[in-house]
Amino acid sequence: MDVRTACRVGAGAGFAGDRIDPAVLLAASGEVDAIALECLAERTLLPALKARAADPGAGYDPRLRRRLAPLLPAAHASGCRIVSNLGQANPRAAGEAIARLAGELGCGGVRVAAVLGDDVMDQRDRVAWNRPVSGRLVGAHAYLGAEALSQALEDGASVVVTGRVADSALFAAPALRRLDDRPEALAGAVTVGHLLECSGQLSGGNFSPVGGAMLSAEAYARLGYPLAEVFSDGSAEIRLLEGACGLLTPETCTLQLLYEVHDPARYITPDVTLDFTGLRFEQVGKNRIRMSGARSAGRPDTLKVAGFMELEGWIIDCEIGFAGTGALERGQRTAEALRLRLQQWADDDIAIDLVGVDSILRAGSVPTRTPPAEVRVHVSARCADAEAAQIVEDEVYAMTLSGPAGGSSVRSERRARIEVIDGYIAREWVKPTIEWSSS
Amino acid sequence: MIRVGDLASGRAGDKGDVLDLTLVARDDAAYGVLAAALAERAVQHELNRVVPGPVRRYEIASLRALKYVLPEALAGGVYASLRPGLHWQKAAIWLLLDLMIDERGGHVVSGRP
Repeated sequence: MDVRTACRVGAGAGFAGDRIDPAVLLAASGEVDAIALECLAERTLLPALKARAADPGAGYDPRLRRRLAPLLPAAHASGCRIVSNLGQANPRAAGEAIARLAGELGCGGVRVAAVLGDDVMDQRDRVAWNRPVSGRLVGAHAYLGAEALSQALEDGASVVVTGRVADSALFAAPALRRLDDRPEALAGAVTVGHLLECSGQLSGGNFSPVGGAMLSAEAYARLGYPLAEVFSDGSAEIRLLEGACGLLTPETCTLQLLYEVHDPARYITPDVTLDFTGLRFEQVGKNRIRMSGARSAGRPDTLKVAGFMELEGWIIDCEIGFAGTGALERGQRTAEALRLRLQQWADDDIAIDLVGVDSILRAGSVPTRTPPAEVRVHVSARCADAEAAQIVEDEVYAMTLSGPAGGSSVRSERRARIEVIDGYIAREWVKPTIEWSSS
Repeated sequence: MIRVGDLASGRAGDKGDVLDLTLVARDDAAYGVLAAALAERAVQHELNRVVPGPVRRYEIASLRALKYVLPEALAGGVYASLRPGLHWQKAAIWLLLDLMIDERGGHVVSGRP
């Protein structure tokens, strides 16, 4: 069978707050047919649902204009299509907003498809939850696959915007209709999607090679995001634009391949269950990787659902800093004193430790050899209500007057208590639909 | 004695309560050393000083990769964490990278560098 190029797809964003300029560079290069932007972490849906409840025209990514104002003209000029989940809780309103923006920017004839259907809140009784719903369920969203996104592109969309879909589906959709009719081809395209979905994390970001050498500060500041030429047989060549900063090696690809994967022989996506055990990465040039060997382990009968629960109370997270000679000892003594002051919190509901020493890895921290020049005493606690959170915050602040000398640079934040609960819903109950807007 | 991070690079990820840790060995010999020293039980023994629950290991020898999955390590998910700020788990790979192992005896040596 002839192997053709199915699609050249670029990684435009790996989370809602991701950088904007790398996507513009890819779109303007003329070297990608489509660019996909992942802008919807699990937690991002919650504020979006609240915004939609307050205003039926809101609930999409508030960064929409900032992200798309530079990207739309570049993509329009090069004929590159855009696929994104920045519709968040309101893809319909996002589609309309994108069409308006395209018009304002002078991009005529832009057809925007909004893919709906992930919101299964009114079908929540059909969801098999992994554990009992213990708090107030705020939303329930199924992870859609690439099929409806691909249909929208096939029907002439320049921009496809949606809400909750599998991240890999965003990046696989542009290739879907141009693949050989073999399960391995689909598996390959979805594997490429999985590799691209965290943008710079494939191309040298969040990567420390053996020996620990880092990229230069300039490379981290201007990290190039990867693109993939997906072939019809599901193999691919992954690369950076010529001259781009970054690092693409079999090692960076393997780390991203297995990122947040559990059983590597059964990575479940809505489109295909992937088997990575035969995967191969071959360096074929500087920052050029040939990928092959993706296998399908079938297609799941159910779709994953993420439910969002709001629990009562808050998590308070506050710190007080110490600097100068003896900072470590003064911080340690403060932590001990705070433990005495906050004894009414059960051990499981409070953490008191030292930023700069052991606040992240706790008992797994590397021992401190030279005392740090500065430390911060950190207190986080689960609090039943705002009053309890205020008590913790006040106790930390009170150390500035009644604790060891020089307690300073106090900061505090409160986080709502959110829990994400997983479930599954039969495919037949989730029917994506497409709505159109034009500039 | 050698530090795991001198033989492999790594990355941590999370999904709900589940923490996953990936190691990619620098070469086949390093993979053999790591696979022998970092058995499920030894890794669980070390990691349970910091995070709770069992450890399941997957081996992908063709990619020189070891995958450790801890289904209960992040109880309540990353937003229930009492660490400062959000997403402490991205640093959790150093729980493995900073382990010292005996490359001849094929076991973990207690203590960190």
